Amino acid sequence: MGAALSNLTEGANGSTDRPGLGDIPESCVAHVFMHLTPPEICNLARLNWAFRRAATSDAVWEAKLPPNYQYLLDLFPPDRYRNLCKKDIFALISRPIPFDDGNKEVWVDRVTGGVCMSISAKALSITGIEDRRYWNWITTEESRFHEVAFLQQVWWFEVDGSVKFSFPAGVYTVSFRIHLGRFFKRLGRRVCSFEHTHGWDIKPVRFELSTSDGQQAACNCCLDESEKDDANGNHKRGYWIEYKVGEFTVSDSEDAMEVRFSMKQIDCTHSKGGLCVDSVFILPSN
Amino acid sequence: MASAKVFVLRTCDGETFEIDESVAYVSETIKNMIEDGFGHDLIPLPNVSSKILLKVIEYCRKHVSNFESSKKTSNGDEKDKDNDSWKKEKEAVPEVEKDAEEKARVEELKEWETTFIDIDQQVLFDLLQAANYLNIKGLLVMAAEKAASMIRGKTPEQIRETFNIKNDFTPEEYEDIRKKDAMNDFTPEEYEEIRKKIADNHFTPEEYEQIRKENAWAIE
Repeated sequence: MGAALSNLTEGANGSTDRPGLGDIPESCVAHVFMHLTPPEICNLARLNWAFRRAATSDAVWEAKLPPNYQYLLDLFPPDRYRNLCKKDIFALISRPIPFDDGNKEVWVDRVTGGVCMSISAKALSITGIEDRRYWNWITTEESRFHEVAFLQQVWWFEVDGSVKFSFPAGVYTVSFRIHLGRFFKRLGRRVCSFEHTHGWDIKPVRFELSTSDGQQAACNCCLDESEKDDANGNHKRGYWIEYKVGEFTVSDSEDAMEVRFSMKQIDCTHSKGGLCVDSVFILPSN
Repeated sequence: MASAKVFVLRTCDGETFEIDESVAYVSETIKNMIEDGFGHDLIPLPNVSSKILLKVIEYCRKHVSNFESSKKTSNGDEKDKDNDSWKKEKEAVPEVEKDAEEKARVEELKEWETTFIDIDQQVLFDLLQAANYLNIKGLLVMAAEKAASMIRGKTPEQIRETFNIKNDFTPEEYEDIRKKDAMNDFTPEEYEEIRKKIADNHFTPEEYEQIRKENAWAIE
């Protein structure tokens, strides 16, 4: 027996010849993988052959997929997913899937496996959107939909939207992604202008949601800080902020649920403006 | 009626263990062997050592006694008496009436589990394989969870170091093996051994790159 051979017959973990992590069979590794997240599993695929095989096993990935993943697959042409193993299905649906003319996107979170959704301002009903004195569309890379609605000035501020979708059972949070002030690049740096930003500190904006099975949630929030706080720096201007509307619960993922949401400030005694509306997010509450 | 049935298990290192029927039935594998008529003599377990079987039996006995006491504090059903009830009990919301007792039982179980699975990595991996072979779902889940917690957050390189996995041959060693392979310098058994170890543990740089690419989608 040569020197190289005796090294090998010592066993894969060197000094001891009792089996260790490097020798546990693929089926055991698969059980361990049930308790790790997809990024962790994929990171370990190159450890050795048992880990690699376990990292592609259908049993592991079936457990990671949302229970109604077929519903998400139906957003694709059947050819796209026909011969895919469960791991590749997960990879496919973990990237944003556009639907509704590309104005909505849905995807599965890589770590948690939760179903997430984003709805563009283009899919929302914005009062006065067609009047360029009030609203304009801005092309920007700061939005996943590449376009946001900028409000110059209006008295009746109302943004409504809805979506009908089969979410897996769980609790979800709805939020509006908003930016006070306008933004652009000047000499490679991001710069904000608050020239038109006004009226948001006078009265709060009302956020509401309701579902087809009768759930409701609401909250009121001032989007801007009043003048006297400016000395400490205004923490609401110049950033994309997600304003939480509330939560809704899905008990049965078989039926599609319709979720309606809105944000309003319709007190016409004062005008408001200088605000960008990007999108609405529906994310699993953590 | 006759007293509870007893079965005798024999480990790979020749030791024998007597256990009650209820304890034996916690293992689906043993249950199937008994139902197929193999319970009259010794039930051989060639894949399990005595050290590990002791641990397994400890688990099974706890499982049975825990189930018995849970029947007193909740309305447990005979048909729930399978491996799934272990998990169901952990998730179940205690009924209002025997709430305090049930809570205490669940708490005690959690503590017992934490102590039970606080074992060195060698025993853990042996236990994981034994639970897999013996098909004891609750134990398999517990051991797998513990193993996952030990490898979570580590890179493959760190794992190889922590768990002493030497599966990278130096280029010289690999060349040596290839040469011997070409010259047919191994006995058939040695050859088979090497073939298996090379196939199981060693990736060529091309394979490694391929695997990295296949899995980049989840990591980036």
